[in-house]
Amino acid sequence: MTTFLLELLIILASIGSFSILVGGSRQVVRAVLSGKHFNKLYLQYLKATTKHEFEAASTAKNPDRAWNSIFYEKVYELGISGVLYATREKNLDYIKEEALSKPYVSRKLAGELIKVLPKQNGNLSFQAKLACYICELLNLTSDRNGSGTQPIKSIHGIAIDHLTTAISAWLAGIVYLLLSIYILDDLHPVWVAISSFLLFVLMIVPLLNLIGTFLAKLTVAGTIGSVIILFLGVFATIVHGGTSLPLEIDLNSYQNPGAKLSIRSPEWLSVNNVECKGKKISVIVSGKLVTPIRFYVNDDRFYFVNKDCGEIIPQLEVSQPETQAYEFYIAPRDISPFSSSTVDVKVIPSYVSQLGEVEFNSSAKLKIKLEHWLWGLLSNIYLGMGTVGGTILLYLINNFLNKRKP
Amino acid sequence: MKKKILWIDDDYYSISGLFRPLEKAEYKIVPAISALDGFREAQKWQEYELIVVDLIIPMSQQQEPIPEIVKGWEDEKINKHVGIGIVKWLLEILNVTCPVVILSVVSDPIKEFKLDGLGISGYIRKSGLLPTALKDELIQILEKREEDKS
Repeated sequence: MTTFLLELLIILASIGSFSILVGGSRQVVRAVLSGKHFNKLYLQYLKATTKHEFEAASTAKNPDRAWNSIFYEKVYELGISGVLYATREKNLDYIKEEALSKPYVSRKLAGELIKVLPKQNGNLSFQAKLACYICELLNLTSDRNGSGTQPIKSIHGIAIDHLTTAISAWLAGIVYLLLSIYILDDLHPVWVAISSFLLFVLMIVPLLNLIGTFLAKLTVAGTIGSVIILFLGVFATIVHGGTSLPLEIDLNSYQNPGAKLSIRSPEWLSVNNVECKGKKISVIVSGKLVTPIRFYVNDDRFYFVNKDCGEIIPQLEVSQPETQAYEFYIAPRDISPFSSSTVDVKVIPSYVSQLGEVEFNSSAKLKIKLEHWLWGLLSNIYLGMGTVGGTILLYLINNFLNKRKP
Repeated sequence: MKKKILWIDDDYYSISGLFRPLEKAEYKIVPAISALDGFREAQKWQEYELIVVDLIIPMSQQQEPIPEIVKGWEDEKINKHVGIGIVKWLLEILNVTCPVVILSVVSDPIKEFKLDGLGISGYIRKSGLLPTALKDELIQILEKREEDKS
């Protein structure tokens, strides 16, 4: 499997986990908001929304602006699971009366739906049969005795949907950001940028639905966009690899008077068993070398390779041009299946003296995440499963609490 | 002290923006969001200047025992709406003296359901209604009632 395919797999798994996270938390937030405990908060939001709608309709001298959204809400509410049977029936009554002025909903269909609630009778037309199927489906998700999960008071489907979407997207976004620091280290900065952009869209769009004016939308989008850019900026400056890098070594003490050595680590230092080589290590010399300098790694699990993946002992020759980077790569010898660990390794420079090879006192310390690709995949799946399990548990707790409430 | 209006409408929270001008005009809106809520609240009808009734309204919003008299209003649903049962109960059984107004999406229910003789003070159609128009119509009904009294 190539690096590209592996990264693609991780990204797909991440998107899958995120979708499950959003979907799961959405169900939980909806259940919680629709429950008794948050009803007051929800109703306050609803009142503020409707106030804004009617004010806008008055300013525009266009009552339809407000009433259409109430009509849409009634239509929308028909399809929400957990809505009381009686509410659906009442909504259909409303739709039937209102549909005369709404060309997009057939009054006749609404009428037929009412006729076949709760059960079909006699010989029905195709339209009525279709309505029956819809009603049967609605019945499956209804509780005709009145113990549905909708709020006790009136429900505003679109408003609660906007609120639910925004809260769940933010919940999922924040949780995912916290958990994905682990994954971000594996990804190329370009992928991080793309996924951050997607995350931004997923988090900002539902929020903008809650806000009325264009200026307020712009302000919120700008503020959140800036925060995310700031986060990425800070994240990009964090050294994800070496703990002592860049390492500057004065070579006066190592038989190269007047020369300096600079070892730079990659920012994203992780290796797996898919790539033939790990991330690049660059060495720059300033001044003229008198003796060659070699590099060793202190951990048997790693070795150095050139850009063609051939094993080498990196060596700076005396002919190494000043300020031109000498590059080599760190690679793992073997990684056990399903393993993942963070390893501290040292890249130790040495020079050859009359007494033999002498190691430098200074070494470049690298923190490398050593991971089998199967582990990466499993950890993503685990993240998704854990999230789903957690959200289902929260949902069940909320339902339990609601049922206990007299 | 603010004058009170009883508003029997399950959509109260969805359309509460409609009442803003009335609230600004020193009226306090007391909502009842089901037929059962309306039944309870309307027992104190003397406290109200006006009672507004929606026709398409559920019996109850939660699991609770429903009195027989309220259950009877559901019969109105066979051909009409529960709200008609409430209006009839207000005007024929409770004999309320404050104005009773129908605010509904149903077009011309007084004529359609032959409610002329009940003494309904007015009918306002929800669709296309702006908050100021609603306020004007209700205040007109209240002023007319004052004139009739005097």
